[in-house]
Amino acid sequence: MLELQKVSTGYGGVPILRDVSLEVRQGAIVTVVGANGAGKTTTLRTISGTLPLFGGRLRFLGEDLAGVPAHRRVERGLVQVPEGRKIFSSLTVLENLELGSYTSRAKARRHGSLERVFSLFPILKARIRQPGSTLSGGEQQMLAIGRGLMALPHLLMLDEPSLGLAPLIVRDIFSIVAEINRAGTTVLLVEQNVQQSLALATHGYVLENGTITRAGSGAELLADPYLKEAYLGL
Amino acid sequence: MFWAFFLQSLINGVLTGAVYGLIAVGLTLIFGVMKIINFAHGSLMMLGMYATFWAWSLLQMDPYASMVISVPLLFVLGALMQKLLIAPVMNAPEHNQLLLTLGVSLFLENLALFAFKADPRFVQTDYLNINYYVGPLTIKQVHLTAFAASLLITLLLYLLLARTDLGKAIRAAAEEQEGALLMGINVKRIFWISFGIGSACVGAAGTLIAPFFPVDPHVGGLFVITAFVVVVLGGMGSFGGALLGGLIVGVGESVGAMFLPGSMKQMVTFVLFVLILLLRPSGLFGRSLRA
Repeated sequence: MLELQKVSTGYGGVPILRDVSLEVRQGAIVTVVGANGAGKTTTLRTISGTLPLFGGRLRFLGEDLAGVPAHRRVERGLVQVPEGRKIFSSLTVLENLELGSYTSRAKARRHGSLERVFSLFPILKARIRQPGSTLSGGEQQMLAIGRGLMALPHLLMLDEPSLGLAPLIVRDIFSIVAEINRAGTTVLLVEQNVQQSLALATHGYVLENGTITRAGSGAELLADPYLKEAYLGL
Repeated sequence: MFWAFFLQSLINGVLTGAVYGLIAVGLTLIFGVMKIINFAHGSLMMLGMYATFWAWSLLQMDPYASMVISVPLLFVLGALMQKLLIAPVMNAPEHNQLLLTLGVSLFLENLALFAFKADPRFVQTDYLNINYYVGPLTIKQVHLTAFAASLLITLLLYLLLARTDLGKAIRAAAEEQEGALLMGINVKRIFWISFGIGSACVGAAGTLIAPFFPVDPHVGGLFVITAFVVVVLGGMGSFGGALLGGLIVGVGESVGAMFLPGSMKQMVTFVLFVLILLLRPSGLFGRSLRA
């Protein structure tokens, strides 16, 4: 579904990612794990089109994304739930969700999508008219994910959904991501939380200092001794 | 006797204040969405006034009917200005953007001076002679129309922002650009649409005051300063603040004119401006200052 071929990118001429290649197959949960500063958010920004490429290729659903602006990628079903949620705090929960289905394809199914999001996240229905700023961290993350679902993604990309959240909430979020995947949405999960994301994923990549250093199935990577020592403290 | 005079000033202030509010609402929309301080706002209004004058003078159009010309015209001018001039410098330091809009305002002013000459023009219609008498008060038709239409347009703009998908997208892009892009919102397009809407507002305001205010190339400079005071007073980016600020400035000026000679009434506006910046820099409803 998604392919990165030797992607290089960075900020203001400073390279952050060097020759990154990875693949996300239909129906999978792929995770990219790495420490702070490894280039995880940069990777998602490049895929979404909010950061231009220095080199390499991006293919989504068989088509090259070169020259496709960020807002059009969302129309094609490439949807990101950004780091720090980036919800619209001054807008209500409902308005945030409505904006999630801004594209015409998603707008047509807005009502049904809202029902689905509310059944996944009942707390959002309870807070439907409250401004985003009044929600707790966990609720804001749910809103961000719900908003992503409203866009009818073929591929849902999540940037560190566990960041800043209590472990119990993280567990809830991860199980909801699993449920979303079971219902048919392919997932690309970028995370610092190596343990839980590898446990969830079908495939994984390890990103260190802008390059992929390890790849394999979730189980393989969990058993990898280097990862155990460097990331899991075991 | 004094009270009748005071009440009259108050009423006049409220009537003018709504127009100031409309001008300010356009300016605050542009600032809220793009963080651009648009010094050309007054010049755009001047162009709206001239559009009305020429429509009345050459086409014998009712000045209020000329809104169908001035509003779309100013929308297009504003959108073009954003797309061609502002968009390339969106990432430049703010003082550069400011200088750019200042440059545009100088250009427009002198273009109008060259094309239309310096003599003030007057839209002379029968509307000027219609007055309403309420007790000791006199309310002029032209002021009342400007007041009512300004409020109506502001209300329509509010409904656009609050109820439509476009309006929500504008509010979202104003708050969080990257987040908006990730919703599939074409933020670049939202920018020129917002600039167009803000300019259309000020064009409408120009049309509404042309029936009673002299039209000349420099009129923009007068109004842009007042508009900025209103926006700062109400809080940059705050819709309600722009309206309320407009009323406060309108009333302040009008009541000030009771006590101060000639154009010194503007002192009230500037004193208010300085006081606000000293005591509450973010304005009445503004968000906290950006670093």
